[in-house]
This record gives sequence, structure tokens and C-alpha cells, in this order.
Amino acid sequence: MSGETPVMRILIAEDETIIRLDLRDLLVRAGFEVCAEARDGEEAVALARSEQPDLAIMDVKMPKLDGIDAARRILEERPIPIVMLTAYGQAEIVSRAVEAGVYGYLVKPFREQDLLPAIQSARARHDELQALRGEAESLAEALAARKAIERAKGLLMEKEKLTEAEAFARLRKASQVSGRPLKVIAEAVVATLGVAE
Amino acid sequence: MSWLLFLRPHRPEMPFEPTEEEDRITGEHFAYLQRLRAEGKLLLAGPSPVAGDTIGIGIFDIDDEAEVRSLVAADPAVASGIMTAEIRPLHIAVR
Repeated sequence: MSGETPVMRILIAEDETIIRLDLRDLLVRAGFEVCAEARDGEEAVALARSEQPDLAIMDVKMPKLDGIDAARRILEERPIPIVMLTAYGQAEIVSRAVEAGVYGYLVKPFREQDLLPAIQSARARHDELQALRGEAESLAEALAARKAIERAKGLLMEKEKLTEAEAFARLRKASQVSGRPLKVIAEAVVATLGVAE
Repeated sequence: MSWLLFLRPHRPEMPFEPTEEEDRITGEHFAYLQRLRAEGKLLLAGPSPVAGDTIGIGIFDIDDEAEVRSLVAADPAVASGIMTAEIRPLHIAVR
């Protein structure tokens, strides 16, 4: 990593020893710093508080406190991007995780090449949510606004052939230029581009 | 010559709910297998994680069976008794 960009500090919470150690190796080799390792949900919440990581990667199924409840507590104290690890066949848990404010996930056993995109996706969506939270009164309102933005991004990606990042950048720019909230811009895009649906 | 290694935890819950001691030894086991991989003796290894029925597998590329058996016996997880090992000859027919 370059000296100008601070190395991203990551908290890992995973009770399966081999998976945790492998994850640590993969992250270190990718240039991240693993600042803390937790073996259960309670430890993850405590370490997130004391170590102030930039991002957390957490297993859903952990002793004492499961990953989703741990994520909820961590996000209440300090919003950070979180990547959730779910076991094969537990994909339905993802919707519970999204309600808690988690936007990246990986299905175990995961492949090395899936790790970085999950981290990037969680960071991007976290940044988007933070932008919305500046406009919204509450997390619930921000999450509701996200739904409109997700639909607007999807329409822009499909109809204007943009990438997800480009679609969000376009919404954000329109919001800044017009001085109107992102949610209003997104709803206008949905109303304009989504008429055929 | 190739050899297939099966590792089974001494209790089925161990991979998901290790004690601190089991967690520590499993860390040593992981580092040991990484060294064998770096030396080119072990081709690959990893768990097949299924709740209550996790096993570990590995594939060795070593001619001498006695060397395989001695390397596996020296694995901290096997030596400490938290995993039991089964070693079988493997003919790699599809490459």
C-alpha cells in the first residue's frame, strides 16, 4: 500500500479457527491490517469499541452473540462497513443482515477472489448510507431512502449502461447541483426511467 | 507419489466451538501445514466445513510413505490428539 493512503484496519470475528487464520492471511497479503480477532460476538463488539477498526468481517453464527446482533450493536456505536460471512445454504440470513445495516456478504466456503469485491462493495454501500444519513432524521429513514436509490441505480445501470459506482456518482452530482436530497433525486429517476415497469 | 490425508476432529463440535486450547493448537496446525505447503510437500489442504461433521483433507506429493506418516504424526493437531489422521494412497488420474 502507498504511504499516502492509510492502511485499512480490519476486525475479524470468526469462531472457526482455520477460517479465521486463513482470512487473516488473505487480508494481510492483500495489504490490509488485521487489527483485532474475535472468537464470539461479544468479543467482536468489545474489540470494535477498543480498536476502532475501519471495517469488520464477521461470521453470522458465533457463540454468545450472533453476528447480526453484534453488527447491530457495533453500528449503533459507530457506523463502519461490515462484511457478513454466512454458511452455505444460509442465504436467507442475508436479508436479516441487510435490515441491520450490513451491505457486504460472503458465502462460506468462500474463494480468495471473492473477498476483495465483498470488502469493496461493503465500503461503497456504507459510504452511500453515510451520505444519506446526513440527510435523514433516522437510520430507518436512511434505509428507506436507500431502497429508492437502489432502484434508481438499477435503472441507470440498465438504461444508461453505467456501472454501479457511476450510477451513484450521477445521483450524487444531481443532488449537489440541485440542492435536493438524494432520495428526491432517486425518486425522480425512478419516476422517469421506470415508467414502463 | 501422492497421498490423501483425512483429518477428523476428536469431537464433532470442535471446529465450530473450539476451546481456547483447541483454538491455539489448531493455529499451530495451520502454521505447520503452511510450512509443508511452502516446502512443496503438501499440494493443498483445508476443511470441508459441515456443522457437526467437519473433516479436513490434504494432498501430499511425497514419494516415501514413511515420510508422509512421520510428517502427519508431527502435525501439532495429530500429536496432541485433537485430530485423528487417515492416510491413503492417491492416484491422480485427472489432471
